[in-house]
Amino acid sequence: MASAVSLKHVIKSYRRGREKVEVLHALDLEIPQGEFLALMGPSGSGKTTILNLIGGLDRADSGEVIVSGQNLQCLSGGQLAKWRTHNVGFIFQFYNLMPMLSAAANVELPLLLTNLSKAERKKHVAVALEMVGLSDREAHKPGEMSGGQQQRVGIARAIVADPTLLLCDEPTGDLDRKTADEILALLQELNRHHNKTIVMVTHDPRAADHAARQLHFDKGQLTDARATA
Amino acid sequence: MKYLPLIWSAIMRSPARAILTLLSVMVAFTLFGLTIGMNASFDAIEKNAHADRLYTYPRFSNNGLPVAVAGEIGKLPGVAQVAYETFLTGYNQDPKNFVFVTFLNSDVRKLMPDWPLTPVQWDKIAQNRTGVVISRVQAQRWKLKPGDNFTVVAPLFAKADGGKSWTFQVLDVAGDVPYMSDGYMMGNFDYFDKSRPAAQQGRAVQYLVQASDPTRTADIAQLIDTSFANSATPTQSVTEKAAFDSGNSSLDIATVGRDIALAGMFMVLFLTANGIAESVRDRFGEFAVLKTLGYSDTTVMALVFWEAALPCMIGALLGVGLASGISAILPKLFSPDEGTPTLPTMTALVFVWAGLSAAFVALASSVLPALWLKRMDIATALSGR
Amino acid sequence: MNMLRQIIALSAMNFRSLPHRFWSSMVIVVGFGATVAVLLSMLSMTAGIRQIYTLAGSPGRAIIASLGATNEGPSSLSHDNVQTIMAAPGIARDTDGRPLADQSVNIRLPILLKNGKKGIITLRGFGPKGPKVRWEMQMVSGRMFEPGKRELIVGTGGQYLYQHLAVGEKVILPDGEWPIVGSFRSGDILEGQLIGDSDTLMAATRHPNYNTVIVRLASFDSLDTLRTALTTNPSLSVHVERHSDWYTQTVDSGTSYYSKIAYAVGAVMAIGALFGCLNTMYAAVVKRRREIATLRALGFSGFSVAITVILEAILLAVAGALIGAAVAWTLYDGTRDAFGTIVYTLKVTPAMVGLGIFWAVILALLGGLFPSIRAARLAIVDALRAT
Repeated sequence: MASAVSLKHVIKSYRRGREKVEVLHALDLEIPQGEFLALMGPSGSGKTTILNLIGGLDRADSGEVIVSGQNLQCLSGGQLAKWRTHNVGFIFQFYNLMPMLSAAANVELPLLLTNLSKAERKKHVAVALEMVGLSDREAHKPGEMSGGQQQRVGIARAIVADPTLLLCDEPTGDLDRKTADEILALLQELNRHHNKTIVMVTHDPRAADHAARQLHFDKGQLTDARATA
Repeated sequence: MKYLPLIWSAIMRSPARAILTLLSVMVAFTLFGLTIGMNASFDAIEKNAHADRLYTYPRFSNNGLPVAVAGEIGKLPGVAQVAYETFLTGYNQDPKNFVFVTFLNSDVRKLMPDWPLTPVQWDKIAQNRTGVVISRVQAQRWKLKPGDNFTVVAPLFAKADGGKSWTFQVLDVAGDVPYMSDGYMMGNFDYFDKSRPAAQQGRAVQYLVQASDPTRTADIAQLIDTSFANSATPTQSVTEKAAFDSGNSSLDIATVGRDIALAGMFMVLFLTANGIAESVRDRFGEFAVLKTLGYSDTTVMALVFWEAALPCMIGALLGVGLASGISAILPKLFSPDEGTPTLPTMTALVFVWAGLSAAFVALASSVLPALWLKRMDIATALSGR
Repeated sequence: MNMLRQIIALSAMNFRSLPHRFWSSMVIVVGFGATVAVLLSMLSMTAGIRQIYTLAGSPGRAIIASLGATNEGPSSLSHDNVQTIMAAPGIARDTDGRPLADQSVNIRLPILLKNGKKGIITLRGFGPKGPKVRWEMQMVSGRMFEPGKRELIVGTGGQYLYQHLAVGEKVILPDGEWPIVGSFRSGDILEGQLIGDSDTLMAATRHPNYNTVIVRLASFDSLDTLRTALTTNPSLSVHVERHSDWYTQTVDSGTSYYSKIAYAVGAVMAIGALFGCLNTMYAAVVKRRREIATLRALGFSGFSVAITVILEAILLAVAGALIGAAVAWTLYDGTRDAFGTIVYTLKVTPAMVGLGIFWAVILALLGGLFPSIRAARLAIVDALRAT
């Protein structure tokens, strides 16, 4: 199976005040297509950095970042933006929805960047909302929804442009146990039945158990953890 | 535009602020419209000045020049035609009711073909010596119609018998001209002249001269004055273009009007710039999310620009619209006694200027916030939430 | 804590936190600054014109002009008329026993302004008693012209506005060049004019008659005596006015139009500034709701919070008004301009500045009112819970 994500010898540092802190030390990572991967580790370890690099939100200092066959280091800022719309979907811990827009309008946002007509956009949005089970809430604003419902909208927005790769940053971090399980079940379904490659950053072991493979990330290096069936 | 709901939702995050901003912008643009409209009026008046026309007056005396001067001017090279006219000032019944009557000699109609008098009306003045043709504004002011009599008491213009009272018949009513906002009354020069005491006859206060070459009108004016400089009747000539140039003041009205409009725009700029900067700062995280969804820097900057531009342009449209409404009502506010001063004219150009100013203000306001967004580190911005 | 101490404490806190709200506060300052600057700059024209006119005529003088003439130019008095007038009762006498009456000539002379535009300057003729009748006149350089000679003096106002009027330069009249031998100051309309000897000027410009006679009254009340004597004289058709009244009639009609425009424009801008103020204060209250709610939870009354909001608005508005007044003063006060043939000085008076500040206070009061009520009525619990 081809790799969805391939990181080779990636080095990334940040400036903290006057110091330069190296967060990723010559990191290698292969993620096969269709895998549900959990990245675990203490906060500040750089897990989110990996996610940002894979999603083209940040650039590595050196090394290769190849996602869905595309070497991200070669793309300019504008090209990266365009690439993101069609290839990656982000899901955030705090949902990051636009408070003044309805659920449907929020989900539609990525589609505005495409050439689809209004009617086609509407159709895609309806499909995405149905997949997350929120068809009856499409006119509601985020302020009128629970945390779990807001996250579902976030997921719908992430899949509406049909990307092959989903990147989740602590998707259940702000949810109670029961709702978290529902969201994770939804992610599993997207992975198993719609063949989405999912990379999930989390510090919650129970969330990580929903993934097929777990990797521990500490002090700039990845260590293999046990794989769950 | 498909992005409109997104931009609109950003503007309407606080409906109160949106409305107040709109009102502020609208008010500033009402002022803008009125002042630019005033300037447009003055420009229109200036543009109406004939390039080939000039006026000659006596240089020092208030008593006019002998009409023979017309013939002498006519002999100068470069002069196509000469005509003359003189005036009477006085009042009707109450000294507060100022009246101004112009008496034209028969050549004037040849020099003023675009004056709103029809050939029939010109003929009437020539044939009915005690008659006058008046403009609509004057007809409304004195409630006159053709056939009525009109009496003017002119203390400074005595008749041969010493009487100061002149009675005229209204022959007809004609159209008005923009630069005479009080209208006019035109009568027959010969009648007026022959009715004066012998010593005062044969003199005219204003001479109209047409130059044969419109590019040399200023030279002709100079030539006339030089020719008469050492004679018994020194002259002062001025081209119509120079005469229509707004007034004697060194602080000319056009500059004052423009400065007011600028002050208003400055206010709007500050208000808009502040508003959009705050809005972007408050929603920095949202913009970060848009970027993760794949919105390019250009698209994001455009969103910011339009968020600033929509209230500006709507406010500009409403403001200039209001200015148009006010201009329409203004003439009714001035009582006929005061006479109407020059009023603003709302031309399409005013709307264009307003639109451009609104766009400029929006652009200037969104530059800095757009730069912030461009330089944004998405990762940091996202984690900041 | 009682109300006043609360307000003082809160205001101090507000003031310290103002730098955080710098730019939004500047919206209010700029709004009112622009309004006051525009208002004052326009009023300075009318104030200047009014002032020059009120100074122009002294109540101790009277002016005699042809009946129907409300300006000196159209008025025309023959030599005989002038003799008759000068013999009338009510006119003050000079030390040599002759009446302090000035047969005046008033001629319009085309001239170029310093900015290149064509303008008109008044060329006035004085009779022998002229300088004594116009006692405000003081020579500042050169000397007075000699009667009977072809010489002129010029006012400092005229020198400021028009070209080629320095002492020593020559003015061209039909009979040749007339040198300017001195300059004078008078604080009134005269300062914008050229003066020479009446009879000599009349000859040079072929001016057939005198224009007006200006006299020094024997006493303030002798105007009536003079007027009666002259208006009942069958050989004359004149009217007699106190010199101060002569000008006020013209100034009222001329300046009332400009005053109306000034206030109208100022009012419109003020409304714009008002909305801007409302906008800023409203946003400030919303932004600081947590802070306000905390203060109220601590025990500060809603009323004192509201007062401090209004005070802040007023403070910013007045600061703006003062800056605007300073701008108008710098740009316009003391500059000279011509209104027809009258040279006047633009004046930004303390009264006008006061007016600007008054407007700012009233409007800031209105602009701060609604936001302050909102601050006072804030639901404390909701605001504290807000994220």
